[in-house]
Amino acid sequence: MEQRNHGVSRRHLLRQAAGAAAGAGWSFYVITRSRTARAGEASAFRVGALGPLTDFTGRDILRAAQMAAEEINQAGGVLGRPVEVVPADEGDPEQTVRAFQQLVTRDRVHAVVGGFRSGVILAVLPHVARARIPFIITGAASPDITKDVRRNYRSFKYIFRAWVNSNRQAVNLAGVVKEILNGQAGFTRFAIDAENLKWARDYVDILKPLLLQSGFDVVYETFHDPAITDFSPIFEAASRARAQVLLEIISNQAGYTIVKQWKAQRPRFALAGNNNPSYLVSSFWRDTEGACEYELSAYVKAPLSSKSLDFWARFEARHKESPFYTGTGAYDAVYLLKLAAERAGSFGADELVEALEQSDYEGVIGRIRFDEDHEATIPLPYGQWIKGNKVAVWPERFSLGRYQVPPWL
Amino acid sequence: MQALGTAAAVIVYGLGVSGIYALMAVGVALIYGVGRVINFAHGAFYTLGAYLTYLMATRLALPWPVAAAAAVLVVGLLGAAYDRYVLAPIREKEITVWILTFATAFLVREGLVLLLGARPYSIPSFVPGSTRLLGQSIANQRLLIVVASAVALGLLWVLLYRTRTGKALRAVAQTRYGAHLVGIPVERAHAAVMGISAGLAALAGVLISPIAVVTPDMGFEPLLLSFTVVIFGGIGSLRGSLVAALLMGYISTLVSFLVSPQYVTFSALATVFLVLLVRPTGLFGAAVEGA
Repeated sequence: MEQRNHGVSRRHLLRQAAGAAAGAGWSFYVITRSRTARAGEASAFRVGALGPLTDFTGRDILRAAQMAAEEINQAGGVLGRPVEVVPADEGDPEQTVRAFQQLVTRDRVHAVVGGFRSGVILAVLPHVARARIPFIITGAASPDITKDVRRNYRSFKYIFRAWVNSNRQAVNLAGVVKEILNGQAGFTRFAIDAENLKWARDYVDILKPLLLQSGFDVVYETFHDPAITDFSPIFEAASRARAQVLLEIISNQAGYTIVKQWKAQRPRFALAGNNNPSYLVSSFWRDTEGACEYELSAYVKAPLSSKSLDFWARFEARHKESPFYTGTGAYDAVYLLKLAAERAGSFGADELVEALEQSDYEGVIGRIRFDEDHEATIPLPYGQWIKGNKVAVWPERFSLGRYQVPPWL
Repeated sequence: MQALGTAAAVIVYGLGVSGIYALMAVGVALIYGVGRVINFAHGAFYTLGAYLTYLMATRLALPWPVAAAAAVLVVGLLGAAYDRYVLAPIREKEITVWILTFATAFLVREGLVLLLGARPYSIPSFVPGSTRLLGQSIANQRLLIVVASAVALGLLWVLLYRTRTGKALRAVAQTRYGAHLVGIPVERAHAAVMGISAGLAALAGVLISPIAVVTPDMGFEPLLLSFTVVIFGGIGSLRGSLVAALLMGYISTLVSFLVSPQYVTFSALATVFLVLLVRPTGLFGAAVEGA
């Protein structure tokens, strides 16, 4: 009885195991077949556009990616397929990871472009590595984002950046100081005011030694609370230290406040640096009522390539405002993916990565080639606000005017 | 000369910062004193003052100072209506009232984002230009903040301590039931206090906007600061709030000018912390005054 029971049980178990194996095999076959079928049937090359869609930082990622997709589709698509842009909202890290996973599992995108907040994008990166989907970042500037590309290439080779990381932004500003503020205006005494956030501290850690190496004096240095509403004490201290230029490193709304108070108080120093609100080329003048006049800051409509001014003009004509930097990068990123797919003759992630690494593309943000860290080697031009326009003054090869010393100095 | 200039700047900026703190804090203290309500919507009135100024000047083409005065008045009336029609029916449910004011703060913020977007708006200085004081250039708007906040607080003092209305409001603060028994219209007193507080908060928002920017989130930090000032001064004490605002304004300004702006919040809060360790009821908290 016992033996019989054992025998029945064994047969039963064997049958169940065989059934389970067959079921699993069938499921695997069905899933892979349906995936293959879906991929085969899929008529589109799908690109996720990830960014905070409720404000201009993400909205311009989507707008510019869609512009690129429309143009590519009008010209015949990619490998015979149209490009389809799938929007995904970037919120807090948890929401964004979910949005990214939906892009991968539900929307089955072939690649993703965009990404604005460094802290959020850092949280997404392990999921990019797991999903093995190329992700071209066009906004987030933390150097940490690409630090694993070389260190753990197999997992993180999918991450690229078509923008300038904050370390390189600091090197850029040092170049502006040397060539424009000293070279053209003769300034030698600099004060630094940065918001008290990690990226800005890292920025100053690179900028300050470069200024000192160039023989300039850094006469005052401070970090302010990002919620600051009053720059008077900083202006006063910089004036007391006889600074000729205050170098600002600001990413938030304090960027409006600083120029308004600079204009109201007319301290005896020029204002220059990295002021993110000043990246809003079509509205910063209006929103500060011209208080930004004579400010020299990063990001400007400049002829970085033969395509740059044409793209800006078309974007402005269509959307009645200039593109934020996240958008210019996203526009190029979609084209980079198109060219990579054509070079590879495939939409496969590994093939796309390999082809992206070979990129040498003249985009609207300049000539884009990726280095070993998958960072695009592009310039971040500087412009000065004069009579309602932000005039490109640096690098010299792209400049459309010369730097003007504020007349009250 | 440089030191004198710095001293002049510290005095003027300190008075300005204190003035803004005081305009916000006395409103919080008044509402708590009269209605025992912790009004989390107080920052929303500050924000609305700035937005209405902008809208009335740009959409109705009113001159900026007229738009500013009209905005303060409208927000004051809104505050009174808010108390009369929203808070009054649930006044006895204290926690519900607090939560409702909290919800109101977010409702206003989200409403502004939906209607006008998250972008910042700019208001020009009501008195453009700057004045040189002992070699120091001080924006005229800062001088206006000092004068306007002093005038507004002075008028409030006259209202509370030199008029029958003020006497009635202070009576309600002392005892609602007693005030009701002697014929004071208690509900009207509540609405009046909310209106006055909302108007003062709006005035603070209007005065600060020309030197900063107008955004949907601009009211949150002043709200927290005003709570801190009220606790520092002693909850329920109007005099305590004024003294605390002055102290906190000058601590912030001195640290800002003489040490570094990055230590401002820390030093102000550390002072409050130390004072509360020694006097847990705040500077003037022991004797609860009639607000």
